[in-house]
Amino acid sequence: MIAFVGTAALALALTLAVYGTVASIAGLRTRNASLVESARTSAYSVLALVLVANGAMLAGLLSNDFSIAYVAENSSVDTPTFFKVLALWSADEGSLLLWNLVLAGFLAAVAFRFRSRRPETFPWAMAVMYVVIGFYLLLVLGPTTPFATLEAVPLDGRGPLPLLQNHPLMAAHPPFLYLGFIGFTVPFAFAIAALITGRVSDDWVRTTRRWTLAAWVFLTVGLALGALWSYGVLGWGGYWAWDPVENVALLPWLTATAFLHSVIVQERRGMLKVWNLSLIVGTFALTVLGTFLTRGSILSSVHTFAESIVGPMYLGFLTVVLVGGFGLIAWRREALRSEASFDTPLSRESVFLGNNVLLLVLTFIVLVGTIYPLLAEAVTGDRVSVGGPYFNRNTAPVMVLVLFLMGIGPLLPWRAASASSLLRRLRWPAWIAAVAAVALALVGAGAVGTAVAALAAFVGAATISEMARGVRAQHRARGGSWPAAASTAVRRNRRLFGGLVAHLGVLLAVAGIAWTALADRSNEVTLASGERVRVGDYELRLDGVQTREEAHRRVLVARVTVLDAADGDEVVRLQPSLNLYPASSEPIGTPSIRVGTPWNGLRDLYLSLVSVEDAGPTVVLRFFVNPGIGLLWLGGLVIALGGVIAAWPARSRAAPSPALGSVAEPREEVRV
Amino acid sequence: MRVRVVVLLVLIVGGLAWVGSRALSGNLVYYVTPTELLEQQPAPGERLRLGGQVLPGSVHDLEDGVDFVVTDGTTRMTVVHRGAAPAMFRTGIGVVLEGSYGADGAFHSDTMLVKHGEEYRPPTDGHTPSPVQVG
Repeated sequence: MIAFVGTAALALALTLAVYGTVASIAGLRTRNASLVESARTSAYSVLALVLVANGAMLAGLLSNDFSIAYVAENSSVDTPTFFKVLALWSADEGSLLLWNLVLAGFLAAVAFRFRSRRPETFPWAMAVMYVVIGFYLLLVLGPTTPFATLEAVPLDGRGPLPLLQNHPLMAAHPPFLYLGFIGFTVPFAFAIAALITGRVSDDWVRTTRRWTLAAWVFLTVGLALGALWSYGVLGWGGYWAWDPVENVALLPWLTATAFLHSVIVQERRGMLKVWNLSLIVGTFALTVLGTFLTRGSILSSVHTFAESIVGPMYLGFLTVVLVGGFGLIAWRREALRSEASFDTPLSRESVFLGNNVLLLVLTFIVLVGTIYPLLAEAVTGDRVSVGGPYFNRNTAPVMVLVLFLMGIGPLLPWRAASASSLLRRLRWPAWIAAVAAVALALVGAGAVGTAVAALAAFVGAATISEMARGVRAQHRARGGSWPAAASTAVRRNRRLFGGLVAHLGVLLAVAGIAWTALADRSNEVTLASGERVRVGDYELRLDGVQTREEAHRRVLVARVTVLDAADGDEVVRLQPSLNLYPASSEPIGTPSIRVGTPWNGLRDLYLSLVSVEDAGPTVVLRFFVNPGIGLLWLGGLVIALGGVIAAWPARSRAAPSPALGSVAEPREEVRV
Repeated sequence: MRVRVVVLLVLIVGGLAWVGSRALSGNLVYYVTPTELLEQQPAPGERLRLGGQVLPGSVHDLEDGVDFVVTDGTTRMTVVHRGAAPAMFRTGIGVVLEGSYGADGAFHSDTMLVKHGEEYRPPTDGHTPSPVQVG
């Protein structure tokens, strides 16, 4: 019954998506407003139907309906309710259901947002979105079958993968990633609509600016949560392994970040039009590639590719997106002529373009390292693995350049800057960088650490001085108290200040990454009960091993006290554990972490339990000292905050311009 | 105009390809799967690299290393690894091992790379319930 309802809802949703596509285009062609309107309102029905399908799967999971293969494979009677809900997206078929739900949500949101005032490209944008959701609905109606049933109904299910039911972050990380990935469908749809109709003015950029920012914020949070999950669950002391599954989420973030910057140049100067359209087509294509690559089996072997129709379908869709997108851009190239040209290399638009190119180089490096093994196996049959050092060695220098340009970009005016005024503005940041470098060299940080810190100090000081300049200008112009001037300055220049806040976030994140990477120390120790072992500045003492029985697993807990090696004082007690799930013969660890704070030098103490020998008992532990990693999480949060500030709607002071609804933007800057 | 655009594109693509190949060279690790290894029938003592996923439940600690079974989904092969396993080593993950195929039918390795990018679910043979069409 549940399976029937779910499949029927998906099939109906697909029918409506086809109708929506046809009705949008036909309505536009025949100038039939009611047809376009019916296509628009169909979006709500699509959302309702996909909700029903997701609800059906949820009902199956919660009611232990093991006649559904997906429930039998990903849930069990003993699985806690919380993880039963999560099982909805912890495997391929279920995650595609969630994907469809989020996509339908965006579709309905666009339909609602443009219910009265709408750009002329709206029907085409709806049609593009309907085609996209049509593709993903088709994927769950045959190529994969989330509601496939079992003839012989098992008494109990296998339960979720142990690794995926070990941490509550699994609840937040995939949905945020999906919101980010899928959110880029909206700017993509409006870009394609602009190309098809030939209305390639800057309207599509303005119309979708907030949608793009929202998607970017979601993706940022999703990436940060993914790194946090990896850090908190996998027990190897790190947070990012250049795993293809991680890389494919980073790729659209890089191109979207480039896009967010280059559209400002288009809005201000009418340049980079082809570039922006290419970036949004590329970003959308990368999200398709991302879902394709994370769809299980393809990563372990290319040979599984041909075994199901899913792979060829994705490749076909990707080809349509790329050929269609870039074909349209080439077709419209006459209308996409730049309205201005670069005056000097020393201007804000030049730095924006420079940073764009660097971000694309980063994208290229990560993309090559990610898909080269797949291409090599497909073409030559050679099996190849690309290691983490490739990514670290090649991305780090580019990242340094990105940081530097990020620091000086906001200080430069549009069109042309005079070198002397730039140097004057850079005087303070340069001094601060010098002081930071000397201070770190005195503390005994290595050459690389000193250089990174100096660069970070330089960029940070430049960013903060730019914020201060805006506030000062406001204060001088209007008077009043300083806090009032600051709040007015931010409200008047949300985009500028949001951007600067995001830059500070990037700086924090990079500082965290560099600090941890440079100081990374780990040790593996074997301890008997009551024994003490010295590890670096610390001593570890095993106080005992306990076993705890839970409904769905058995937990072995090692109680360990960390002592200061110098004075023997207790620092913290950590309790890393091994979890034994009935579905898995191999235990899954849960590391125990003392979170770093400013009072203990931001040092995370990270302890994971590798194995437990019965005799003794003796345990094998891995101990990591990770300083500064907290800055990475904080940085992710601050980046997202910057995005939110930039996207926050201005209180409507002036009447919105009728053509574009309320998308009229506040001026970006105050220039005094 | 058109010629200039084409030349520019060729330059960009060529430059990227050159940078990419330079960056990749020295970072590529070639390996064979257990199935391919058995087909090749390497001479005893011949050094080669074997790649596969660590079969769940097969990992045992040894005094000076670890032994486990790797699989490519069709063929399984026992691996005896001397030396410490990397921190990321865990069941279900992809590994690339360097060593030789012994007369005992096991692969003896002394270098282990954890190969990123395997899905979290290892290939399960004979484990999957067979789905039938939706009714």
